Amino acid sequence: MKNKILNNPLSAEVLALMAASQISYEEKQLWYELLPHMTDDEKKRLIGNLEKQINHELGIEEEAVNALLGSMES
Amino acid sequence: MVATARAPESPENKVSVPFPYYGHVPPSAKIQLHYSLDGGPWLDADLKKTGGRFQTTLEIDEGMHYKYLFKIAVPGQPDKWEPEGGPGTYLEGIAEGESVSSAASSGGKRTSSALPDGFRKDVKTEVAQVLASAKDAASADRIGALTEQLETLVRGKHGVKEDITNMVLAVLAEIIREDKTLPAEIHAQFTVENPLSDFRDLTARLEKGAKLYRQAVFLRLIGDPAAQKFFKLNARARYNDSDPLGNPKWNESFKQHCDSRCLTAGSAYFEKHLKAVAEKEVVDPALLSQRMSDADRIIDRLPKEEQARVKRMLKEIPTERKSKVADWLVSAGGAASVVGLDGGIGFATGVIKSLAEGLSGVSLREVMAGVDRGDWEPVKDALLRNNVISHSLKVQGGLWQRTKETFGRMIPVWSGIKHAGKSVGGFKAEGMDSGGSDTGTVSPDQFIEKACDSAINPSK
Repeated sequence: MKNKILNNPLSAEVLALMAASQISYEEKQLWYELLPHMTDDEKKRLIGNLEKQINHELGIEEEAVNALLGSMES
Repeated sequence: MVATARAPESPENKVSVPFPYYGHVPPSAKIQLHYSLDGGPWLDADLKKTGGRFQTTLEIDEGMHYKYLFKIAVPGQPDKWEPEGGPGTYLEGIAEGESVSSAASSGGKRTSSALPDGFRKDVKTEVAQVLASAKDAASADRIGALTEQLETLVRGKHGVKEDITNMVLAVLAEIIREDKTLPAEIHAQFTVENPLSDFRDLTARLEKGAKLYRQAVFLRLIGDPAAQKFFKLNARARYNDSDPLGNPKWNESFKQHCDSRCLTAGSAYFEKHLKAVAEKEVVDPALLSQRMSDADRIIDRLPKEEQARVKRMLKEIPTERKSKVADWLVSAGGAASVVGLDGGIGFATGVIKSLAEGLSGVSLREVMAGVDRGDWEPVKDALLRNNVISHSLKVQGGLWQRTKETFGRMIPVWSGIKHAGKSVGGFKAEGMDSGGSDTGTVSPDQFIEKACDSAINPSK
């Protein structure tokens, strides 16, 4: 993909994390617009935020799976 | 005697066609075996007696049409032809490599009654134990397992080929049908009008019935009227394509009812039990607030002509977003609820199985084989087809494996995939560990490209 954003590892990581997260499509589009204007520190801060968000999602899934299994075993 | 009616054109085209006779005959008996090639005259075959059994193998050209006919002559008794009333064709087929097709496997000219009594006794003894264990069978699943067990047993015991297996199974059908002590569900397979014509048809019907049965059990539990009707029908109708009145559309109608009702009912069931977790906000409000605040500051640095447009984008970001877990519970949970009634099937396997056979039409065997091999493509395909996942990038076998380590069972997880802070979206860069059929072959550049593509085109 010929995209200058991808030449920046931090930007690429932001995009990758966004791909993994369930944040809204609208927000993903927003960050895609903003990435070329962000400093490295801002990108790192966003990366940290997205990692927490993904962990939050995983936590929900884990809780759901446990509840699902629990209901089936009861 | 080796057939000489037609000389093979080259040795590699010759194939062995065994004479498939496994019955016992009295020591004093003589057997005359005849064969015919490509519609030619009946010729005598050279039989060898091994372990009380007569055997021979014709070596003939591949593609040649053959027929077997034999006669048992016991002193003091009338000659017995196979098939009875002969001369006729006992078995026929086309010589194909190591396997042969036969009249029996095509539902053709022979019936099990033509098989020797000794053979029937052999089979009956061998399957007695299996049948005994099946007497308390309460579900069609167990019957399905029994069917496979019987087939495996017969194949393994006799080392028979496909055509013979069909014959054996036909006899099994007859034996089982005659055993009045077996439960109705088992008899249901063998009470069709022509039970000996093709056991495989019965098996296919059974598999179809098994799904209906399983779904009906679930619907009955939740008080579905159609399920009550289903269970009032006699067992025979369950596994046939028509109801007792001969309406061929009834079962199809019920099948459609089950498909939709099980999903909706399953959804209701799981939403009732899991509502709290299913309705959790997928987006952490504090984290979202922080991101929005940061974005607002960054927008101020954009060129003036772009700021208004991007500000509008910021305002369009939804502040609430329900977890996709809810969707997953609806689809996978609904399916699992049906399968979950079968105690012998694990949760994840059950989900996959149900998806495969009930929702997507994917071959169950294909999917299960994929699971066994660690090949997730068919599983992923099944999930994709059923909208359990919306994007192929969202499935990673490695994560599934991790759920097995965590929960003791494999759970299909399709989102929120994160790997060492770098591997996301079901893809990983080269050199990273973890499995997954769509991982490992993606270079770092491809990985980032795909991740980016996924991020900006989530619906792709």
